[in-house]
Amino acid sequence: MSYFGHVLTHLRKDLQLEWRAREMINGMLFFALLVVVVFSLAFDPTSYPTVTRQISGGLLWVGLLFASITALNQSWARELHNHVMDAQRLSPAPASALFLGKALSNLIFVSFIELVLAPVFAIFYNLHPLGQAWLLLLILPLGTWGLTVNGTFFAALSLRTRNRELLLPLVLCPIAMPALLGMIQATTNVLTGELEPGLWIKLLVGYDVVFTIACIFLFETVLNAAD
Amino acid sequence: MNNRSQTQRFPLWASLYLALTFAVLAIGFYEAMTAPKEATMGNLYRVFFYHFPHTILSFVFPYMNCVAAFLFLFWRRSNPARALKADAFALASGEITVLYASVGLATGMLWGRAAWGIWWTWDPRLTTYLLLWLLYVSYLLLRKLTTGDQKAVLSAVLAIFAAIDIPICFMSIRWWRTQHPAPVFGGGADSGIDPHMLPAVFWNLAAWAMWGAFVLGLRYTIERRRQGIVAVEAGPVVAPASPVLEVR
Amino acid sequence: MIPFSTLSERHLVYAYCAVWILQFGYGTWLAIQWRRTRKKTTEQSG
Repeated sequence: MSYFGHVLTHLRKDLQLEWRAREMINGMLFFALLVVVVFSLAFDPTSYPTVTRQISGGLLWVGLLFASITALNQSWARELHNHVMDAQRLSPAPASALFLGKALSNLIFVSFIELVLAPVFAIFYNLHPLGQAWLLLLILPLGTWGLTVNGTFFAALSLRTRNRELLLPLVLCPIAMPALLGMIQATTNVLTGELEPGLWIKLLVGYDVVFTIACIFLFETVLNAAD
Repeated sequence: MNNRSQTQRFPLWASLYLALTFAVLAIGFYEAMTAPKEATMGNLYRVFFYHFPHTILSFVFPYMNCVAAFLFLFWRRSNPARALKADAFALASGEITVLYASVGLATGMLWGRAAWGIWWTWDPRLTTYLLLWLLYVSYLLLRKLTTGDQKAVLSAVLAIFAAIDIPICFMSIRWWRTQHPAPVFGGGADSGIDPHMLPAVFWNLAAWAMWGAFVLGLRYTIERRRQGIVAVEAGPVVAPASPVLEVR
Repeated sequence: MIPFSTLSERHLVYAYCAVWILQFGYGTWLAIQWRRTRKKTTEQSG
């Protein structure tokens, strides 16, 4: 089987398992909606439309970041429970294919949440993008991949630590800062229409490429860390 | 009995080096205090003589940490003895990074509050600096929360990620602040330094570099000793890989 | 003798003291750790 064959197999498996149980998606969805409500307590969207537009990009991504972390924390739980990691070490299939499949499935889950959350934001905060709205279709996946690829990697890394739910956000957030800056700035620029988001989109692409390569190369090392 | 005195005795060359370091520190302090007063800030600017060496050096140690982490992963299978040394060095340089970055942040904030009235601003340099500090604190936390052999491997991987992240952080934040200009903290290295102040800058840079090398070496030695203790306590039972895996 | 009257002077003193406390405090801590961590040689495993 080719490399991409392996990746697709892992991806299909994760999607099927999640479809049957739907725990992670429901959890993330509910969490994200709660975040919308809690944030609305902090400011008044109707009276201050300009301010709202300026901060909504940040709020959206903060909400997605927290929702992703709750999902990422348990993304390897099934694998751990069923000794999949040990099985992977004994199999000739490349370990990075397992990682990519998992990261892609996480991307799909978080993207699903975004597809629900972004319109909810637009409705609850009376947002309509003043810039080129179609760019959001580019920005959202790029930003999400930046979070997911590193998040999946560090979730696997913190599997062997004592306090893994605590460690994942502590390690992920500093590393993801440039990507977060990029996605928040790009989204805000599209919403406020003030500046061109081109620079930030390029940053996101660069970040995604660099860290995807780093994660693929180093996943096997993390998998075999205890040997 | 005489083994005890052997292990506890601090080598002569180290004592001499430490004495020399203190001498240079003293000279640096003297130079810092006797450099001419600055036009706008008066005596306050003297914080710079301590702030600058620490900020510069706090970008040197993380790259030592990255190289050591890389070497650890490289030697892990082929030369485990050397890999252990690399890991000890990585830990030592990671701790020293956090130390120097903490000092840089503290001196910068104290200076900023007195000079410009604000404790903090989110300009490119400071934000990247805070990120540096956060990244290496997370490195130390990862090491603390992991046990056994995987500690070295996992922290080496994180070290590499952190080292890749720092330049990306800096560039991205600088682009951000070019779009939205904000107050920049501290002329410092940007504005020209009065030539009369240069001796103080160099002496303090030398002093804190020497001190950094000293604590780095000492921390490395302590870690190597601890590794030795762990190895002896584990006994001769450290088993090779099982036959199934060896076939690969 | 040590200038302490204005905010600027106080912060200068705090900054220098902070550096000394952090650096020499760490150095002292290392020295204590060094004394406590004996080099494990064969004679101690008995």
